[in-house]
Amino acid sequence: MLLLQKVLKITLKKLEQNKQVLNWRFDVNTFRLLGRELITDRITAVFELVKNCYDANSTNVLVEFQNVSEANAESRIIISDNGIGMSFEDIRDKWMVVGTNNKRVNLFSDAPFNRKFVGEKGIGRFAVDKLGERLLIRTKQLGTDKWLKVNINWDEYEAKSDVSKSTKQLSLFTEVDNNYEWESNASKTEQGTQIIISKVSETWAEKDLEWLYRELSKLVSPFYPVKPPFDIHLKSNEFDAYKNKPVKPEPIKYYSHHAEIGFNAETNKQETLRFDKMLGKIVIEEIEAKSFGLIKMKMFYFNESAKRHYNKIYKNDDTRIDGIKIYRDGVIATPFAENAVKTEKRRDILGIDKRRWRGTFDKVGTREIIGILDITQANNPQIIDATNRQDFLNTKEYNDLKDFIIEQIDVWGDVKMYERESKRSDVEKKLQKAGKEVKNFATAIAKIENDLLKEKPELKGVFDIINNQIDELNTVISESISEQKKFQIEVTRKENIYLSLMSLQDYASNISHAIRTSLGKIKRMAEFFKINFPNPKQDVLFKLYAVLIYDEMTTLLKVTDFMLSYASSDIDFEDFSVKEMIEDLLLNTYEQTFKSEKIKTVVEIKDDFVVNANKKFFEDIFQNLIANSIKALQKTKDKTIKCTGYLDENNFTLYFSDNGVGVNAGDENWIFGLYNTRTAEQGGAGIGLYIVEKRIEALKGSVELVENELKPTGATFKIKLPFNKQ
Amino acid sequence: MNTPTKIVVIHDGLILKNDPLLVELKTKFGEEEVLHYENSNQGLEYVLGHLNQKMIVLLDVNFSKGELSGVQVFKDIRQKTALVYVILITADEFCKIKNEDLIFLINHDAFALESVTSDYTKIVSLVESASHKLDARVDAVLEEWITKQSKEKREKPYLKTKDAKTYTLDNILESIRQQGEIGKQMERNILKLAVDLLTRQKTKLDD
Repeated sequence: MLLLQKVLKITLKKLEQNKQVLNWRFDVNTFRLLGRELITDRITAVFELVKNCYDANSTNVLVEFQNVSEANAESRIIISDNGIGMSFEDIRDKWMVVGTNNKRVNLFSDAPFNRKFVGEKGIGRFAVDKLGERLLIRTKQLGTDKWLKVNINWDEYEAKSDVSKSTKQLSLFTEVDNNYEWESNASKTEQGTQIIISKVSETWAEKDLEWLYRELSKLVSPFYPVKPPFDIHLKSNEFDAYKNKPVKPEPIKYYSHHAEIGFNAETNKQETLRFDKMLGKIVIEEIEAKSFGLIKMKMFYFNESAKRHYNKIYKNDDTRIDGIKIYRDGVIATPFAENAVKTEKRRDILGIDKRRWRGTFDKVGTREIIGILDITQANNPQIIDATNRQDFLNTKEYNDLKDFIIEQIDVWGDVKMYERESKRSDVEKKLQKAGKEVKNFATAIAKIENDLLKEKPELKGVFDIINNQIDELNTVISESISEQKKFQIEVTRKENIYLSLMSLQDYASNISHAIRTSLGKIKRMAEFFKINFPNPKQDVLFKLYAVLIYDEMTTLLKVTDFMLSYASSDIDFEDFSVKEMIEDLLLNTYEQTFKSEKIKTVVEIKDDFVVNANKKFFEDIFQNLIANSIKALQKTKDKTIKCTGYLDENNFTLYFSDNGVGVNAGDENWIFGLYNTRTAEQGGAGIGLYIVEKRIEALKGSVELVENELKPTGATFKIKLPFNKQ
Repeated sequence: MNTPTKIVVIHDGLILKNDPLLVELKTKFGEEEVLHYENSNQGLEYVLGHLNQKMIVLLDVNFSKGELSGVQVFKDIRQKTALVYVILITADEFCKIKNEDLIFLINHDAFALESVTSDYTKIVSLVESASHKLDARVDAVLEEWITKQSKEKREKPYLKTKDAKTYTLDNILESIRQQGEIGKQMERNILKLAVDLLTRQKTKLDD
């Protein structure tokens, strides 16, 4: 007892003296997983390492590739800088520790550089891990006389974690020892860090270097000089184009429009863009400075034909047109200092694309515009990195900046709309003009005919031919005009469909979840057989598992059928009337089934609603609801299925009801989950309502269980399908 | 003799009662010690209601609508105690888990993250390893010792400092569970003391 009290006393005293003690425990697998997420590809990996060089006050960085074009024992990636270097403690306490970015104490590097840190803390190890298996760090700080060399061997970590698997013990990452040594006799004036990666994991082709070059060129603003400089060179002993190539921002080419705004510091005025419809072009206006301070921005817009041209030149590589980037004092600012190779992985921090999904297609998205926004520490001190460094701090100033950016982008939306309208009306106008001219021509001919026929009646036949031709011409032109209008409607509709297709990706991931759950069950049962069979004591389980495996396989087949429905050719969209489809289904297709089950149907669809969608998807929804109702109605006397629907301003609403056993209270949401069923004895697999919900979600609609319309028992589903108003 | 560890399985993708994973866990840890909840809200309620027990939680990530997500359950558990080992088992691709959640899992000591398609023997061995660690962890041992004390003893001031702050055993227990500074430093000191005592041979283990 006394001893414990003593320990507590010492504890409290120690706490006073030492407030910061690090204590790490973690699972290697989870660590690796996080690494894979943070560093999605090797371009990002190099990019992150170069950012670290910037943070270390380097003025020169050399990224060197040696013998990387094919698998090679001599392959190396070497990143050398002339920055401040690391001490032994830096490596131990910073480089080797998992950071969560919120522990960084300083936001700026040492004077005279005062650089705003751009590297994400604790990401270096992940980056190196992505690039190769062995790492040698050579580093030296100014004033010391030795280079510190640390060897870190990822393959050994890997080996250790494998061993730990076989001994069923989790090893801790930090348990691996790393060798280090000092390389003496160095000049005290030398400083810098070299990251030497060997056993390079993947081969690098010239194309990969080209890509890396392009990404590195974005690190520094093309329009704002960095002082002191930050020069990057790319070097390869295999590709001539990269013998020793300085990395320079790529000139932006092939855009259709461009505009630039600046400010007047003396009058404290900010420039802003406005689209002048009368003039048909963008004008620059001056406004009072905004809360976030004065900024400069250059924007390059690619209209449809410019994009086509661009795609042709760059072979459909649309990672080049990449939206608005923010540079602070000439260097790309977090959170934009990330390079996600997959465009869809990029975070849409400014909300540029989100806006489009909600709204119309006249908005400009990140793939149509390149923007470079320059802010400075001096002018815009209120734009602050959030501690998690995933975004800027959510201050009023940042929100105002976001709004301002969106306003500027929306000006390009106006340009887009104007161009489209003028193109559209151009064709229409030309056709209408042609129509008018034909009419004028007809009037002129009629006059000539009138005058001439009096003198020369023998010419009547000639005039008849001309008149016929004029009539034909008139018809052709009228038809063209109406065709043109139809085409416009068609275009609008295609845009609507595009909107409702967005969630197909979610779909795929949902299905993979379903399949893995099923496979997991089957695999565990098979594993049980593998380990335990034969064993008379387990016979009950063997029998049970045999049945369950069979059932699970059947379920799995249903799920794959569901999945295949997306791959089949009838995924095409068509116009059909929801009213007709439901009536057809309930009154014709299921007529026989309902008769034999003695189910009465009531169908009251008040309004008609034509959608352009995949008919099969729609039928799936109702077929599953009907199948459920039939099961629920087994024990009901007077069986009824009722379907009603109406249209209001924004939605088509449907109620689907039966007077079966109903759903248990508390199960209202649960029933939509995959494999959730209360009718297992009747062959329910728990897939029906899951499909119903997913199909409806894909149409951006919603389905819920509401109070049962038919009494005393029963179930009513309310389905809401929104439509796009144009 | 150690008190038995409860294995709380909160997962809706397992075969009810008869899943080989559950069967194997029951064989290893005893029929009574393995509990299975398909509803995450109910599972969490059980865990939070039985903090005085040694527990290992096997946790799914996705649940039906209206139920807490696995990560949320994990967060809610961690708010109350750091002494329950949690092993997450998901049917999703790992990359579907958000980065911030992964960081939270790492920094709050999630024991492991496994796929639902992994061998169940692998998952069982993870549970065994967690159970072993639970028995050997200083904080867990300390927790066990404190919870064994009578209620009055736990509520009585146990120590007064010079600046007149008092600490009861319950205060200490809370700090251990929430991995507060006092709790963590206390663990370290006990380990140091134990090593010190053992090397100087002033005491023997006779417990």
